[in-house]
Amino acid sequence: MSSPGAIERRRRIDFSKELAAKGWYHSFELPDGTCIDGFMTLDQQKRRYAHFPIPDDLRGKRVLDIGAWDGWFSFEAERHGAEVTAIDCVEMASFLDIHARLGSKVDYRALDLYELPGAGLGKFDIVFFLGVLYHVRHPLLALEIVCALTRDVAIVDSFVTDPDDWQDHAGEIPSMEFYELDELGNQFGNWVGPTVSCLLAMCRAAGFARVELLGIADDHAVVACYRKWEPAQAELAGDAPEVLTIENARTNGINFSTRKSEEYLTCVFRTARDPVTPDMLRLQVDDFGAACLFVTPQDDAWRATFRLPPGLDPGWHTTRLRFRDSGFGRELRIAVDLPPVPKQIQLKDAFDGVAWTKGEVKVGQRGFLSCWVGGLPENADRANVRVLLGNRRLAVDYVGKADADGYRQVNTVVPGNVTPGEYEFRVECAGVSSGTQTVTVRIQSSSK
Amino acid sequence: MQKTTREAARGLDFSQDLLAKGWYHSFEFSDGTVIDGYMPLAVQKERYSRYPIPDDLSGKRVLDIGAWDGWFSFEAERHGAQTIAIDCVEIPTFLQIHRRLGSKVDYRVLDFYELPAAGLGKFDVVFFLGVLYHLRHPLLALEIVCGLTTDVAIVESFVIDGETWQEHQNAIPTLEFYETFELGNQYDNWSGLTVACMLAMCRAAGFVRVELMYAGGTYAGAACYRKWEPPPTQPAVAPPELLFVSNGRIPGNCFSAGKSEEYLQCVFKAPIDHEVVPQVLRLEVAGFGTRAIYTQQREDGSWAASFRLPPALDPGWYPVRLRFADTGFSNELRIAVDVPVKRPDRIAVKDAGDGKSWNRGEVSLAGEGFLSFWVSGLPENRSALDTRVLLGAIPLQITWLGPDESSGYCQINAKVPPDVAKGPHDFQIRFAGVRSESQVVRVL
Repeated sequence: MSSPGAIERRRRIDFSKELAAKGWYHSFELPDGTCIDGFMTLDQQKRRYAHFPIPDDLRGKRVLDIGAWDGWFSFEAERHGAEVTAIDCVEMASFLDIHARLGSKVDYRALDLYELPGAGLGKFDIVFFLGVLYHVRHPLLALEIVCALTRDVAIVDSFVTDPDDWQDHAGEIPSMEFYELDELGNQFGNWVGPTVSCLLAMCRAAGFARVELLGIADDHAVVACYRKWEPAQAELAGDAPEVLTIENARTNGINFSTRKSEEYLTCVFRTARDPVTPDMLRLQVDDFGAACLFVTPQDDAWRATFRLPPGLDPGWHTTRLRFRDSGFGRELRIAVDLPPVPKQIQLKDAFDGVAWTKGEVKVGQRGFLSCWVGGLPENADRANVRVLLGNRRLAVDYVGKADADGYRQVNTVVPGNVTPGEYEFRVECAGVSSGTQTVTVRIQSSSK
Repeated sequence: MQKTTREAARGLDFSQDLLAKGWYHSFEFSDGTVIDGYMPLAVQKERYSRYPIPDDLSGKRVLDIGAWDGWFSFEAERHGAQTIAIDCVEIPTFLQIHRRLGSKVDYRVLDFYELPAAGLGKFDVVFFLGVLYHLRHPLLALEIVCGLTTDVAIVESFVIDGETWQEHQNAIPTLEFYETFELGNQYDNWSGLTVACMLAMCRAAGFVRVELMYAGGTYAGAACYRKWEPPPTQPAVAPPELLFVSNGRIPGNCFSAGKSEEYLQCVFKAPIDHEVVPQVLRLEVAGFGTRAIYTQQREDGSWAASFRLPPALDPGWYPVRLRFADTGFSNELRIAVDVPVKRPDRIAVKDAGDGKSWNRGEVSLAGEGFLSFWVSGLPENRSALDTRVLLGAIPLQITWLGPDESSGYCQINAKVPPDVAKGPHDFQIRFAGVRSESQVVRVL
């Protein structure tokens, strides 16, 4: 939290006069020998670039430079062989000048940061997000957008409020300053100043699997944010988890929506290990890692919750869990932004789920009604299959795999307060209904 | 200022109390029965009574965001409002009370960030009670709330310095960020603001007046208005004269509601000898107030001031007018928000010349080169984005694009780069693909 004198210190972080005197933010040495001496020295730029954990040879890699300014980092990545896209919120004449002088092929666009997800740029192996975070009004949303655009690593460099003493208060809750006007550096357009630990926490919360502090210098911290887990150890000595279910924590289904601001995966698994802690777990959706938020024992198994990794395209995705030192457990699939499209839904045989008597259900405190349903879409799940007993919607607690004829078992719970008698029974999915069958509800004799 | 320890924040966990009660809100029914929830009825009534809203809400639309059991929704309905309540999951207790009261409250399950696109329209009054700290993007959330409000939003939230905020009013506002379970042992609590931070964010979101209703314990409430207080009935001073309004990012009178930061640059003549500071300016766009960010006097004695565009304006033309705290309103100008540009039939250019010496047909590169000229035929909504000024093949940067003058022509100024070859150049304007005839301008 800000200490006395903080306002004066923040106001002093004002390089606008030096910048105006230099005329350039970045420095350049051009092939014809001309040098441009900007606010940031060439030596500083090269040292910063050298710290980035990216290959020297970037051929075949796509790089995105967000807030490129004069463009030194874009052109440097291009020089290393990358296919580079550079964006800025306004078109910078200085960028275009260097672009022309270098004969660069960097794709340059003027875009608002929040327009990036809809700009159709595709995904990037490497994203540079250098000196932009504190200029944006919604820092965590900005990092989510960066994460969703990154396939491998994003380099996040931001102003921080506690570069010199952050380790002294690492035990406190991370915080950030909010600048309503020109409190930071006398500039409008600076919005937040996070502490170092707040910057790291937001990078993790945005969806990066691993976040590493690369260094701190000149009021800035530099962070490498990885989408993938560290490579597995060569010898995976430990037992893999026995994965029972992987489902949406909100709906208990297998469908996920990237439009929801918070979407969580729950994985139930068995293991001989005890205790199990979040740092032991490595969940992967396709190649993207997701860190465990919490894990609790459940009966003879464990239940772990993870945030859905950002930026998944619509379709099916493989989901796997391993321990840090083990191979993966069984692979399951989840559906992302995939509308269920049923054909005709056929309802075959409803049974009491305990006694297996046809066309009826016995209800005590509650009852169980099972049926077999054909024509359901592949991504039918507990949330999008609706089972109706008369006008009452029953809770669906299981949707099975299709049998040889394409029928899937659907199990439901009948509440204890249903009046005995005959009901019309049917199954619906995405607005398509089966025909109806008659099911008789009987009272479970208490003598049992 | 006290720093919150992880232990102290975790202590704010009311989940056990809530579980024991079964209800969050309390209710009393006309038949005398009572539901005793976690929050006492007296507290709910006290909170409601603080809100600066009329007792009679007939004809008013109210939105209750994060309604939970729904007491505030049903209370607004009882006062006559047409009410919409939303929550991120369907709460069975809300539906239970809804049935029991025979309520007409429109209840929807929506993710908070789905609200702007849900087609709910705008609301006179928005309740945003105890939701802010549950959201990952607090300032964006307040922008969304502001965009849905036409009169007042009630913002109540957990705060980290409810008891001590007055001791550090001059400090920079801060917020705590909760990555996992730090606050109240719940993993869907994301931010803890100081009182000053909550007020600053409400203003930054676009509310023109933000008044703290109360702060205490771990809670604070603010009334956030979209409109300025009424102007003085008998102003002692003449109103200012609004000379022009331009987009601060791109010259012209076109604005985009989709940009995260869009600013109006207003130039005006102040009343004689009147103090000009941001605090005394009252700009109104589309009837909504907006605050000045900074002011600056120009060489000719007029003033420039920058204002944020009010959020979530639908496409269309909107009036802009300015007053001072102690004056009536100025003349009215208008701006276009996301209005498609019409292609002109033809455009004509006259009087191209040096912007400093005013010599026609030439421009000097001494100092900085500026070309000024007048153009006719442009549609009323005009932006430098649609306008190309070509000196030979070189596009010039437009620094000023004005309204039509009485001659039917508008002035445009453009910068001439220092490395343009001296001598005659073809000079031409293009607007939305339509070209003017070209003429010759000599670069000296």
